Amino acid sequence: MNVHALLGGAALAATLALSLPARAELGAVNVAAKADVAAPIKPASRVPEINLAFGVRSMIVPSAGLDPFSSNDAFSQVSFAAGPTVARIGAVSFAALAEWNFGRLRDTARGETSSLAIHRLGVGLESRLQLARRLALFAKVAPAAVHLRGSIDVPDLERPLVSRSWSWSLDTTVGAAFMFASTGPRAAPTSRFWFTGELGYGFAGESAMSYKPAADDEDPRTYGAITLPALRPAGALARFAVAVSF
Amino acid sequence: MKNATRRLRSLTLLSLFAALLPGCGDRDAVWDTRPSNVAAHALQGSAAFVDVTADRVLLTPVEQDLTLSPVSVPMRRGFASSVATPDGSALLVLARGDVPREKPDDQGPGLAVIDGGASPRLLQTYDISDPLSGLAMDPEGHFAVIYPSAADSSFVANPNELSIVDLAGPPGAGNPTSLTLRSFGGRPESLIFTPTLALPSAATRLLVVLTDRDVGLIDLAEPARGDITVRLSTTGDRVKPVQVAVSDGDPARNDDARLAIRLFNDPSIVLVDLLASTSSDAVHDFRPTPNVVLASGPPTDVAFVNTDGGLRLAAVVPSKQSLSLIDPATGISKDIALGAPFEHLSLVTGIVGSSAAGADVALLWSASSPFISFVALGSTAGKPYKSVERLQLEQPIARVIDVPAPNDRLKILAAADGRAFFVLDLIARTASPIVSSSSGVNVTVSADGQRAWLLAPGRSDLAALDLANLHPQNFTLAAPVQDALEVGRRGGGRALIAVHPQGNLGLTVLDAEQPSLETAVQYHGLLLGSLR
Repeated sequence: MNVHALLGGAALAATLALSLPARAELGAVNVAAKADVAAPIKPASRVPEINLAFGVRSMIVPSAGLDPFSSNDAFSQVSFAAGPTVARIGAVSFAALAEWNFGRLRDTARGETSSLAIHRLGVGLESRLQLARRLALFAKVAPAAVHLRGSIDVPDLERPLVSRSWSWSLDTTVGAAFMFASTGPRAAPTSRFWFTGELGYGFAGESAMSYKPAADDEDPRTYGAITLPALRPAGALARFAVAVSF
Repeated sequence: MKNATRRLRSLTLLSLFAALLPGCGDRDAVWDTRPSNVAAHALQGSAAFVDVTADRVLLTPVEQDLTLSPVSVPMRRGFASSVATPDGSALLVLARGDVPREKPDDQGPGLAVIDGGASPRLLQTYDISDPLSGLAMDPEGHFAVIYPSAADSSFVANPNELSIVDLAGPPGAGNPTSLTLRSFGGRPESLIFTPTLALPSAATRLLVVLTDRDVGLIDLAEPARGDITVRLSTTGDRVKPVQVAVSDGDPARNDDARLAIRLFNDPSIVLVDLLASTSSDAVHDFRPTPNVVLASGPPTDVAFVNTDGGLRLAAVVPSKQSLSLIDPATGISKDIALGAPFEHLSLVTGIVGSSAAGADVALLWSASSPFISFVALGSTAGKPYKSVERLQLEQPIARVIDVPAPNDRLKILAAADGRAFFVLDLIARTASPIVSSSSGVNVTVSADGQRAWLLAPGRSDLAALDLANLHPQNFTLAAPVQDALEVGRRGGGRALIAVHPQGNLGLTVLDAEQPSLETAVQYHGLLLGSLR
């Protein structure tokens, strides 16, 4: 918990620190605007601007709770994010976002087919520094609710053993965005297309993984639960996405 | 230019992934192994499952609501054998460790003792000098003996090496005690623990080691003194000991304890008197003195019995359809005609009462004849017995199962086909048949003597037989049943754990005293749980 708190604090500080040089740059941009000089890092977008992203969120999850579902610690999810850029100050912009990540693992646990599905529903705040017309750096903090559904097929039972639980998550990342295309006038594009990549650490709470057969109204039998290792879907993470801003 | 940009992008992505890869470890190997050869034991307060591929024992205490509270106890690698103490208070697990030991943290061989109560835990582990696989348990639960078995295949092995563990003492330099049997070419084949015998020096217990040609005697109070070998033949004739009967003799004397050693397919029986040692420099305080007596033919079972004429050695001789009563002092034998080829006997005097002047009553049965017989060993009108009472059953008996108190007047006789059973009332002299529609039925009697559980491996059927009124209650469970383990529940009461062997084990937990599927709790994938 202490390690998580320290890393979380550090990531948050990084997010704030990224905006500090932007403020220092604010005057320069305004001055340049008054001088009617085309600044190379002048933002070429509107506020509010809508951002949509689609990509892959990958994590290294060292938790023993992942072992029944994967032969290694890697876990990937498809990632959807959307949200508006809510403020812009010179080369620095702030965007809110909502995101949904979904991933599924399938393996065997001691010979039984096992699967794990994790949904992550979150919101976030992103601070972006436009270094050049095609290049931006950003930092992001994204808390989320995480739903875990583990499933194990066992013999003698027509339905699987299932564990369902909710937990929390906090992604703290920094990354870069590269604009590979745009539409509309160069000075004021109507839409921009980005490749984004980010690295960071995802914090999460630990979920007890207690398994029993999925409920069946036609089965009056009483089932006991078996407990597999608790799962904490936390660890180093990377996200790669294609995004559009319009 | 575009290609260069693409390459740059690819390299960037690859480098990011590469930065994450060092943290991408493999999972614990246990998840890649299927459980196999899971040994199941019923202990006092839990069932124990030896999960060999996970190097652990999973114990399952039962709560009042019939749910389980599993506890996983790690064990050393290289599982060799496991056995519960006779009272179910502990489970002994023998492991060979890592063979060969190559690294400093490789594990050595050891015997773990796990608490069999409702709060299971590792009590202690005794380090063993050699990775051996044979494990024998003292019926009184005080000692365990580790010995080489056929499963041991070291490059060089000493088959006469034993380790004797005093389970009441802590591990230490003198516990376990390792010793090598004096050998005249033989190797241990079976181990027998005697009850306490009043020997000339002190009351003690002996470990009797039967080899393929002689017998070793070890004083369990002083195992470091080594064994005394009783040679059964000095002429070169090969005789093989197969059974030992023990008598402490007159409780008021300490010089009349003796052993009787039955030989394979031989009418000779070796009587060994345990006398005071006459040599001042002798290592042991007692001196075994063998004598040979003869039965009327090769016996298949022997026991010391009390008659109104004194102690006798009873030998069942099926080829003569007789019971030889041999005076151990004179070797004089008298035969009782039985009228059927009985092969086994057990004394039931403690249950039915002595017949006359303290004379024993013996129950005889046979795997080749459908008769059982009660022989009262008093003497009447020149006959060496008071009465021989025969009962004819439908089938010969392969096994006799004792029932604990309070129903110890009953014995369950199992026919060879595993389909028919007879509940023998030793007092009423009745034999009530219990029949099954399936063959190969296993019977497990509860530790409280109230009921017996019957199951047929491979079938989902389970029956509870109330031993008070012989009423069977049948259940069809969700899956085939391999074992029925009855244990105490936390807070009182008893539970029956039916083991379904498929996959990672399934269990059905029933109230043993009032069994019902309505209150039963089922578990699936048991061995997936409680792993680290």
